[in-house]
Amino acid sequence: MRRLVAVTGLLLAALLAGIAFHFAGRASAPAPPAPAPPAITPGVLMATPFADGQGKPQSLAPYAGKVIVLNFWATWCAPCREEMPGFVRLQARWQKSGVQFIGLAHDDPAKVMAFGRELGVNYPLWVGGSDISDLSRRLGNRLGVLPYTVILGPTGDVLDQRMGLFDEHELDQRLGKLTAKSS
Amino acid sequence: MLGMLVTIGMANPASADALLEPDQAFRPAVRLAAGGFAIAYAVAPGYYLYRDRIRVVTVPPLPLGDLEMPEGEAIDDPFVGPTRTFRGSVTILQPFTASPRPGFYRIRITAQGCAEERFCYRPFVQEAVIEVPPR
Repeated sequence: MRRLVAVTGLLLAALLAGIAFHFAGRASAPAPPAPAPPAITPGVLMATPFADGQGKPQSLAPYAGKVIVLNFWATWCAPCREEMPGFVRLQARWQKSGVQFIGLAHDDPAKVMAFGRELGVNYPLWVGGSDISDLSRRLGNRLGVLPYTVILGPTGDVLDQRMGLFDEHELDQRLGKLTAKSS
Repeated sequence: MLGMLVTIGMANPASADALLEPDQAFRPAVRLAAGGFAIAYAVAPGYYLYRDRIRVVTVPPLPLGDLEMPEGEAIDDPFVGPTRTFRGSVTILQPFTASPRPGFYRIRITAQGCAEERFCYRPFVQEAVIEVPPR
């Protein structure tokens, strides 16, 4: 009888510990920020006009067929600048696999170009006004934060997006999977 | 002086991990104060507000002076240069340069801030209404 009580007690303790662990695990894992669904068609996105640092018109159309990593950033945004050296490394790593990074900044073109030169950015940095902010919101950046990064498939479909920093290792793995699929 | 107290964005206390709406990360409570109106910010843990990017206008227009603010915390941004920020609780005063007429006024505050080492918000606008009562 004493043994039965002891075993029952152990089972009960294990059950309670399991319940506590279950709830602790739920509470300690913050829900990932959920972007809004895109409110722009791939065709419109690929044809949207931008400008480079010299004011020359640009668009995503010449990059159709590639996996495009569209990064919204600004020179005043410290987390954005911290993230970009990783993008430079990933651009170099995945260039030949058909990955194209593009930076979009609602910012002063001179500052954007100066930062690009200072960091040795190896992908296009385009600039604009509030239209760039509007575009990020239409793509799903419901909080209007920077950095904000969108991965587009070869036809301009939104495959993934991230409000805030995109971990370099995670993005590296994501690009590896996407380029494996498309090759 | 009597006046209307308005708190914008009545959100629950935030955890540092959460990705908050600007109104949750930076909650201003606006009230009439001696010679102007005070904006008391509650900045969520892990977030900061740029001191020198706060702008205030009113509708209808009130005669407003320069904002009176604490010095804040200095950040030496290697690209932008020296910057000052507010964390936690901070109260700033928007002085009047002349006595306002009694009535209701919409206070429109443009501000900018970041979550430490995670992301920044584009300039965002928050609004409150204050009442300047008859004397």
